[in-house]
Amino acid sequence: MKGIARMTGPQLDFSGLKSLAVACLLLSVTVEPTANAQENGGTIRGRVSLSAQVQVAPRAATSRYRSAVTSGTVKAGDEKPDVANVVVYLVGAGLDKMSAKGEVAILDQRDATFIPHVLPVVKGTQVRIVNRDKTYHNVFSLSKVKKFNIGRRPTGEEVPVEFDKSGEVQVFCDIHSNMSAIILVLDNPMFVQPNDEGFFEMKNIPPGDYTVNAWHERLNSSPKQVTIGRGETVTVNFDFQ
Amino acid sequence: MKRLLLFLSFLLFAAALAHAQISISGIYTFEIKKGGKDSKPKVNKVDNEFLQFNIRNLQLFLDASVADDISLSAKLASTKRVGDAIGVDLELAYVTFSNIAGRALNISAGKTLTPFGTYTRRQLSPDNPLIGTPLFFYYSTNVSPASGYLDSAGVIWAETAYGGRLSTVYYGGYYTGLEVFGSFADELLLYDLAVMNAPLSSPNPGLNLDKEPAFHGRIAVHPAIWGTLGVSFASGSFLERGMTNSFLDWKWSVENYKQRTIGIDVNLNHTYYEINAEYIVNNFHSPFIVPDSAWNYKSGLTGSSALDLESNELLVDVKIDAPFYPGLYLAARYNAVMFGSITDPDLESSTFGKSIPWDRDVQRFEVAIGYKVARSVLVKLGYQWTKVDVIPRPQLDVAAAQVSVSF
Repeated sequence: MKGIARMTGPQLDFSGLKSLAVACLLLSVTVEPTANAQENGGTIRGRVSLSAQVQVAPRAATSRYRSAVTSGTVKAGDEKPDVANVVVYLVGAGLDKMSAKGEVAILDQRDATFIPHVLPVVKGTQVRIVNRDKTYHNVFSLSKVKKFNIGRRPTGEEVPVEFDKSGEVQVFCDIHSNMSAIILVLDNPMFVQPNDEGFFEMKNIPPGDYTVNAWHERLNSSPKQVTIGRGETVTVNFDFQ
Repeated sequence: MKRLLLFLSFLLFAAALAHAQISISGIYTFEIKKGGKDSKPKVNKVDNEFLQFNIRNLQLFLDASVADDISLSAKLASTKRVGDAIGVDLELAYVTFSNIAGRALNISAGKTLTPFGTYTRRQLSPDNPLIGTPLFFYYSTNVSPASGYLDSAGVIWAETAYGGRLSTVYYGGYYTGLEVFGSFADELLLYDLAVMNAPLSSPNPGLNLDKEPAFHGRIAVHPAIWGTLGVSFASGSFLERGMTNSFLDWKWSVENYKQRTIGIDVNLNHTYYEINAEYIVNNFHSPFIVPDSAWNYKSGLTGSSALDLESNELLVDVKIDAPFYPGLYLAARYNAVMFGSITDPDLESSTFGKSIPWDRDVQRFEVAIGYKVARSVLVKLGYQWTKVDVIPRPQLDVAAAQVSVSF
């Protein structure tokens, strides 16, 4: 399994993942599980597949109206395969107590695209929103989980936004209507995103009973019930129909 | 003709479907409005003084990427007909060849927006923070495409036997032609040049098939992320070969009467503030024709003796987002059309030979509060005050509420 995305406790192994976006993401979800969990934790690994292909028609870059004024190519996303934008996460007793203090994540705007398109974070994380383009973006969200509007910010300026409630936060640019991202705010740090082939591995899981969920922005999959023993590895696969 | 055009456009898109994905999006805008007792569509876009419920428009955008760097775009829009009847117009349909020489050269062909100024590109309801449209897009001036300068004898905005009246820019700003656009030096310099079959004031090439093409263009510099400065220009013949203008053929043909317009625009924006300003100088080089009762040429001014009808037009709008209440904003706009003077050419007028303004100055101030209920749902409440340089002052103020839904 080349390039499996792993969550390994205090550090994350992101070998094989090439994009800076993913590196930023994985660095951002560094977690501090309890010492006990690190010593006796189990592992969940598996593969996510998308049987149902999501066809998103690329928007023509030639709109004459303001909401799409760029003359260059408009990208539909951050160029990751769709399966790499899935988030696999655990729900279970005790996980919510795992610390997420001081977590920081980065949401870039580059070439009129949010990078990453899907940003999973732990509740309490500070997301720094950065404009890397030479044109303005106006990043906002009207989601119930978190409403914010950071206004137009110059190149390189970081604007911190904290996320205190769990749920989906849809993020847009008020100037470029084709730009969108989702910040998925989770209750605990037990989550991982698959690699480009769909493989994932989540380590150092405290022994116990859990529900494993796989989230995709437009598709649904069924949650799986698992029991993790000390040092045990459980395989869970997801197929989005 | 329009049905044929619509049918052909759908055929075009059906053909494109075979090779490309199509994205379909749209905007629906509903409004409630009430205008003053002197309300007229060509003055304040209100039919009468009664409370009105309107579908302001339903716009459908179709975009198809038919090949690498080749795309097809179209816009269908509802148009109000008599009573509650609503028709559909093909407002835009163009093919674009992108990145011919990187970002420096792109070409569009078809019915597209004029590059003149910036308002045409932010006219859609979600992009227009106010409830109204700037005056120079629809305010009917004292010029007719069928006969040039009208001696209105004190009757303003009335439809005449010579047909309708022209605004500086045709409402909607769409014309058919060939457009070349692009940017240099990492978007420091932008250009957009077009050859269109109609001048800025008229979309109606059908009556002018033998005239010269019109030129529309804008060149802009974008020296800093917070600002853009643009210069626009347009030139084209504006007279139709109507009944009255048949007199002109033996004196000076209709092609020689031009509308020439130049404008500057500024956009400044930062964090929660945005200011847009446009200043336009417009000139109609217009004949003045007086037919006799048998509809023969009686008197007038033509050729080099024709009138230069100048106007100066200003638009400034400001939008401020509420930083602590996401989705909420306040906006205001000042808008004016100031008309120059001519020597009254009407032999039967009491002011014959005297200097008179060729139309009545008009000023408008408008405020609005808007709230994005969701990303694609915008609610606006607005009020506009209009002052026309006529005594007694016409009652043209408008209060309106709009909801726009993008999909």
